[in-house]
Amino acid sequence: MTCDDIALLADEYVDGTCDQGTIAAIGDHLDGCAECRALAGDLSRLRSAAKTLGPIAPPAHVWANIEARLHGDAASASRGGWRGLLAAAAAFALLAAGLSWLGTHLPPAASPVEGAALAPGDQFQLAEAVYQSAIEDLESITAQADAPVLAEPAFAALQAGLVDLDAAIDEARGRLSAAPDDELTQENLLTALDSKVLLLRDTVALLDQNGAYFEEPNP
Amino acid sequence: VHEADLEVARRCREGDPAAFEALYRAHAGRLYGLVSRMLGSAAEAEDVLQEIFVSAHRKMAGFRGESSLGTWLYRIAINQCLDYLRSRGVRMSRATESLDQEDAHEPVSAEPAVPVAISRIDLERAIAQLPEGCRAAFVLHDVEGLDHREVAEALGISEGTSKSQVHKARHRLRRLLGARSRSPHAARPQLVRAL
Repeated sequence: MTCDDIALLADEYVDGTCDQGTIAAIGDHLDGCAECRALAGDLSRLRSAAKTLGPIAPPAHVWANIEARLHGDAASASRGGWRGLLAAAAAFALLAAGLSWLGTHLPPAASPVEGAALAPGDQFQLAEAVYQSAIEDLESITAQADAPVLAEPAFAALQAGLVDLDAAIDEARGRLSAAPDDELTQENLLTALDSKVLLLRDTVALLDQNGAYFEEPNP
Repeated sequence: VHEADLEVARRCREGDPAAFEALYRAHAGRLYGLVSRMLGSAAEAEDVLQEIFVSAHRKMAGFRGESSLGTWLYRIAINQCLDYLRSRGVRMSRATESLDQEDAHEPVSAEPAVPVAISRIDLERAIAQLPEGCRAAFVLHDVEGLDHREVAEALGISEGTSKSQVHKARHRLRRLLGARSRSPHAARPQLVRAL
């Protein structure tokens, strides 16, 4: 056993994952080599110290923030879980339909109840489809706005937000193409779609306040 | 099936604030320790810890009791950490050639570099200075006690990469703690000892 061998095997030695023969050979080398003995001792102390690092109490405001966010969730139609996400998606379309000129443009919103009896994977697909449908409807409306209007400062921040969300949506969809059942990525995608609908709705509402920028819908 | 945890999850789902707060109080310390060490930043860890518990609250309907709530939260925490690190452009399998070069120039000494009583504060600071990839592997293996197969699975890397990252992390820590123990400040009282 040489010092180079020890350099390669020292981690397994201190982890206790070497076989008995290797342990004995390393022990023999360490008896006669102060440098390798120092290395093995250091790694062993380091490993022991790392094991003693325990929990760290988070600052009190972390729980306060979590509590505030949970209350916010409860106030916004209990949007946790698949049924909640479906309800949120459908609610967006219904809210958009409340705009005076929108009624003739949007198809009926999907009912959240439709998703209740579906398997989680199907619920995800349904939720994504409902969000996507709402997004397409809202985008078809913002597309009617004059380009110079959308370049105004009031809309610039909204547009920048949409660009960021589109990047997040693309990234999540890319990951899902490799791992379609990854629940965390599914949730990330729905959250991004959720945010995009909100942002588009704000854009439409802002445009709607200035009806002159739109063509009047056909009766 | 973890019946007691299923009961806690049921109460959380039904909107019992005391149940969710109790869950937070029971697990926040361990998860905050994990997250702050993996990210190397207490401030960022606060944000991620919030995301973990908000996400857990939303996913509670999916908890089936097949593992304990602690294990379930732990998985959410690791996934949130990895998502956060990826959002910073970190790749767990990223090569760390610079550390290889440092290893090659590691001074050989017959004297131990790591003090017998390692200050916990010094160790935490040294861990925070590690590059992200090897820090995550080191934290999961040496602090959290996962084996290399579990680390590889958690980080989406090979077992060989996990071993290599932990090796590099330990050698970097040895250098950092050795340098610290030789510095003039090393004489200060060791208020918090890990051993």
